[in-house]
This record gives sequence, C-alpha cells and structure tokens, in this order.
Amino acid sequence: MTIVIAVIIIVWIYILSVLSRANLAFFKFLLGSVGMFVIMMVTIQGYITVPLSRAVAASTGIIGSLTGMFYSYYQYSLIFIQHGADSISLYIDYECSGVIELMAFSALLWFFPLYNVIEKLAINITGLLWIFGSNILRLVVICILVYFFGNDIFFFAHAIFGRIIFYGLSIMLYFYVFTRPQIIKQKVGKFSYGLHTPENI
Amino acid sequence: MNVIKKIAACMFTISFVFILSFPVFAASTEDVLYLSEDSATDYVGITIDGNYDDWADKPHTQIQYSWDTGNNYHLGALFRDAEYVYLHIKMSPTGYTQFNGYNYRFTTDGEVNYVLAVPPDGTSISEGNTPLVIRRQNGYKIIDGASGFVTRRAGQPDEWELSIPLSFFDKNHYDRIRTIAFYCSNLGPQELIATGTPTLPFVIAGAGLVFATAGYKLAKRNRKK
Repeated sequence: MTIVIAVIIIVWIYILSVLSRANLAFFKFLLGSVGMFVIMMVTIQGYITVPLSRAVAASTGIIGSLTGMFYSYYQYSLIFIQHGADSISLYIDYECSGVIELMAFSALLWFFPLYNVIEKLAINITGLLWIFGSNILRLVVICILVYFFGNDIFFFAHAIFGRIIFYGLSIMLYFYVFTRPQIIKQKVGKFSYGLHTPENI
Repeated sequence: MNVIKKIAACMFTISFVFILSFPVFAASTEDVLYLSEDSATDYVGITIDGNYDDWADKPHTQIQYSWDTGNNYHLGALFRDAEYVYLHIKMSPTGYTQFNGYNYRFTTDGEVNYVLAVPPDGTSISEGNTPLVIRRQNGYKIIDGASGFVTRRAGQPDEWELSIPLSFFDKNHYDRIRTIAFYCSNLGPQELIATGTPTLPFVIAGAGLVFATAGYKLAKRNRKK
C-alpha cells in the first residue's frame, strides 16, 4: 500500500511539473490542490484526527464546564449533555473534528497562485485556527440548544442551526482569502471628478 | 522542486494544529488516557468481561419512572466505537434490584431493533459473573459477535454490560450509522443516545474549491487588464 501511495505521489508531482512547463496554470492549481488534499487524506489524516477530535472535545468542554451545561470526556472524544432526565452523548469523530475542512483549506491555499510563502504561512495558520474555532462554536451552540430544549431539538440544532453557523464562517473565510482580494483589485472603468467639478463648467 | 516545497509547507502547517492540541491536554489536571493502542477503531476502551472498572470514568444517566417516589434509580450508559455499541446498566440499590434483559430497543438512525439478553440455555444467574447471550427478540436468533456479562453480588444490585456489533443493525453500511438510542420499558422511560455531529465536510471542501476557482479566474482577469 505504501509503495502504491509513493508511486501515485511521484506520478502526481510529474504531472504537475508537466502542467507547469506547459503554462497550464489553472490545471496545475486544480490538480495540485485536489491531489494534495487526497494525499493528505490517505497519509496524515489518520494521525491527526484523534488528537484533533480530542482537542475539539476538550476546548468545547472548557465552555461547558464554565457554564455547567455540558461536560467533556475528551479522552473519548465525547461531550455529555444532560437535560433533565434525558441525556445525549456527542461523539467527535473524523467527520465532526474539522480535519477534512482543515486539509481542504490548506491544500487550496498552497496551490493558489497568489500570496508569497510568508503570507501563505500566516493565512494558513490563521485559517486553521478560524476553522477550529468555528467548529467549537458550532458544537457549543448545539450543546446549549440541547441543554435548554432537550433531545427533541437535537436534529434541528445539529443539522440546521449548527451547520448554518459553521458553513457561514467557513464560506466567510474562503471568500476573504480567495475571492475578495481579487474583487477589490478589479477595475471598474476610468473616471475622474476633476474635469466636471462646478469651477470647470 | 516548487511542488515539494508546497507539500512540505502544507504538511508543516497541518502539523502545527496537531501540535496545538497537546497544550489542551497538558492544561488538564486529570490523567490523559490514550486510545487503546491496539486498535484505532476502539475509541472507548471497554472490554466485556464482567469487570466494570472501564465504565467508572464514563458518564451515566439515571433511569427512573416518574411515579417512583422512593428515589430508586438505575444507572445506564451507552457508548459506541467504529465497530460496536456498548451498554452498561447498574440496577438501583433499593427497590427493583435484579437483572432484566427483556425489551431492549435499539434505534439506529430511525430503524428499530428489539434485543434481549439472557443467560445461556439451561443456566440461570448465580452469584459472580454469568455470561449473557444476546438474541434478536423477534425470532430468538443469537446475534453473531455480541456478548455480555451479568454480575450478582450478595447485598448489592445486579450490574451488567454487553456489546453488539454495529453490523447487526446495518450489515452493509454500519460505518454510516450516526445515531444510536437505547430504551427499555422495563427499566424506565429515559432514552440513552449516542450520536455524532458531522459537518458534511466534503460540502465545505467543495465550496472552498468553488471560491478558490472564482478567485483564481478573477486574478487572471485582473492581470490581463
């Protein structure tokens, strides 16, 4: 398996170099970022997920302990919420930990053809912390809703409200990093106020 | 060479987050427990052997009927990992203290299965540990891979633990099971729920690709101007 992965990585790097020499910058960005994401999923995702999910559970649990609303059993990547006689155990598995979002953001950024290395490093670290924080906010909101309204609200809290928060914050990050700087740079036509001010008429 | 630098930089920053998680653990005064080293699918470190030490540090829910004014309540805990669902019940010290293995309702993502836990045919529960056989309530068929133990001690309430493979609930796609709920009318009205909260991460990854592509196209247009 390791040999297969190594061969795939070598082939991927070779194709990227061909695309680079052929000046096909967009395809280089596309194949580079998607390939990087897949390679990270295969190689390092397994090592990162467990500590990351525990860190998410522990960080969420700090807010829970301060408010007394929910408790973290971070060694099991678990958050426990008790509402009256009902209880619910939330597991932070790899789809909840944010690891996929972290890797997707990093892969896109490092093959995005703008920003220098220092800028990318700073943006990447900030972006990772932003995604990490957004995920904690999502979980805190879900836990608070379940604490106040019981297990019946879990589906709404998790599938709708929590996701709206997380998607909103993630899209804000992508917009500010990838799209907004280019919109600001867009020229909207030449114009001047000088020639038509009242004193020139 | 440029690509290799990008890979190295990307790995570095991802590792940064990885390293970040350690101060969170270090800040705690409790002992840090690590996953069972032998298996990354075993999140909870529970062994079904009639020894309940592995449940001691896990949250339990009080199971009690509201009409029970004697403040008798049982304790229940439901856990899962990638392969199994685990259940632990400790009966109330007073009132109804004996084992009851009937009418266990497990609801997995809306699908209901009734299960019962009984001693092997021809045996009864005696002092000490007695193994349990886990069967489908409908058809009385033994569930492959499921196991359990009930423990009876003089002067103490009965206590038992069991595990059921997730493949029993969904043979082909048990890795997709998100929510598991346990309820037993013989114990109390409370439902124990173990669930995940996935973000649908690939949707966000796809959205990121769309935004980055849009940014790239705009950058290209700006350069042409």
